[in-house]
Amino acid sequence: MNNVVIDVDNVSFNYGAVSVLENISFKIYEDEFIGIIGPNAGGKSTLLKLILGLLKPNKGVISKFKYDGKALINNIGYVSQHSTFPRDFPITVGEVVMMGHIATSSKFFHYSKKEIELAKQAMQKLEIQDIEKRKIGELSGGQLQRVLIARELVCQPEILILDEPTSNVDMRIEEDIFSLLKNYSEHMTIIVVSHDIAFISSYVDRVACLNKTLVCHSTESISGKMIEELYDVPVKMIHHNH
Amino acid sequence: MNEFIAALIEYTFLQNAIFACLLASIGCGVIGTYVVVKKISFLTGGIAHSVLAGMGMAYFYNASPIMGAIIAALVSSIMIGWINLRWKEHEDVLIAAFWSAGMAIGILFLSRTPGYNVDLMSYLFGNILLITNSDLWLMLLLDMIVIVFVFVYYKHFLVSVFDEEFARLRGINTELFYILLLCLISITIVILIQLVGLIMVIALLTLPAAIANQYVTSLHKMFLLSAVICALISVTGVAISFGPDLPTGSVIVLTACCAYFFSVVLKQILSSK
Repeated sequence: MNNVVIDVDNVSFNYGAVSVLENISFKIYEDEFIGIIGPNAGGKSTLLKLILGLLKPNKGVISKFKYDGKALINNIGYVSQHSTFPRDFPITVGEVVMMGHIATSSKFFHYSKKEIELAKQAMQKLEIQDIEKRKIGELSGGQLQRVLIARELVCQPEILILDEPTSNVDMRIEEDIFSLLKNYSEHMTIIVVSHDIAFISSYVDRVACLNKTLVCHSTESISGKMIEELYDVPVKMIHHNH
Repeated sequence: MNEFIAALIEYTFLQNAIFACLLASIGCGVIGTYVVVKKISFLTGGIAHSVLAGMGMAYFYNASPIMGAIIAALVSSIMIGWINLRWKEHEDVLIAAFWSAGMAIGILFLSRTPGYNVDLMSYLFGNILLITNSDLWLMLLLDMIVIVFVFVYYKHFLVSVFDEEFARLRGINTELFYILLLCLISITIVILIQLVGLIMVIALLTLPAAIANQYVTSLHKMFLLSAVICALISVTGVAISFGPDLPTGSVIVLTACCAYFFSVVLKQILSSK
């Protein structure tokens, strides 16, 4: 087994009186591709924000070992579910990707040769180099998602966290994005939140099912009964192609 | 038009007015861009109006009104920014409070100041034809301050304005840059007050940049284009108002509104083709 990179130990979180997460414990290992699934309002995004340090747990500890403190900044990439920026902002794809360097980049306008080279590589991998000069407002949902992933990849993070990366894109793009992530997961820890268990289970190594509490499964063991427990509704049909 | 050019060669005050337009356009282009893309025009309006408090106090204590304006603008932008960061959901109320309280304090102090305040009218509505050499130097200095900050921290401002959550995750102090941006806005307001007065400042901080925003793909191109547009609008305004002796500030503002209107129509026609 690989090293543990993130250890969530008995964590609870509530927004005021509303309990969102209860006694969550799990470990994430180096270079693992883990999917977090669960119903809406089941606490998936909250768990990610706790891991990122955007929220503090009311109880329990999240250890990120070598990523604690300052090192977090360039070693964990995060693509949020709802991009908060205005789509009509005057900025090109290339400029958004270059933003990934912000934590280490110099002042003024220019970027170093190395920074430009890393951005080029990231754009090539995500096949967005042809739209580098386009304004982000002109992109499709799938293209924009690729741009945001590229922005995280420019600083070569060791952990990549994605919250519903394919909620605004069609099925074919969803497959593209997940096969790309699958390739990356060979040398990167990837945590991805999704509502689509049937789809992600053919890509990820392990699934964490979250609805206030959390249960982990290897993808082979996902069954109709388990989903019933999680969503609290009878499951009509689930197909797996492993 | 020929008459205007002849007068321009002859009269220093008119030359000063044109220099003032060009100097104001630098701040207006750069900071107007941020006001438009961050969609904070009313917050900017609130800061502009609260400047009257500083001017009123300066009159009362017989100090320089423009210094009063600078101090009031900085104080109110820091206060609005700081409260807004902790009380976001009531932003519009906060703006309304600062907007009116600033005016009210200003008028209270002015009512206790003896004498007829003819200068005050020029700060409310602008009087570009009264601009002196020392005003021009002050405008240049304020422009330099704005330009230095914006150029040095270009990337930081860009990322904080564009995607705050991302910026915060990468360790950027977004709150600091937000307040710094408001301070730069308040400096620009003081530059523009000389042209169009504090009541109409909001027009020059939004319309030229909004026109530019329709035609550019990047923020730094927007700086340039909106500065050029602002210069064209304000010089045109001065030229139009000179012959029939109309209030220059008002003519500049109306020129800006017309230019914005035509650019929107033009953009519609261009994009429907």
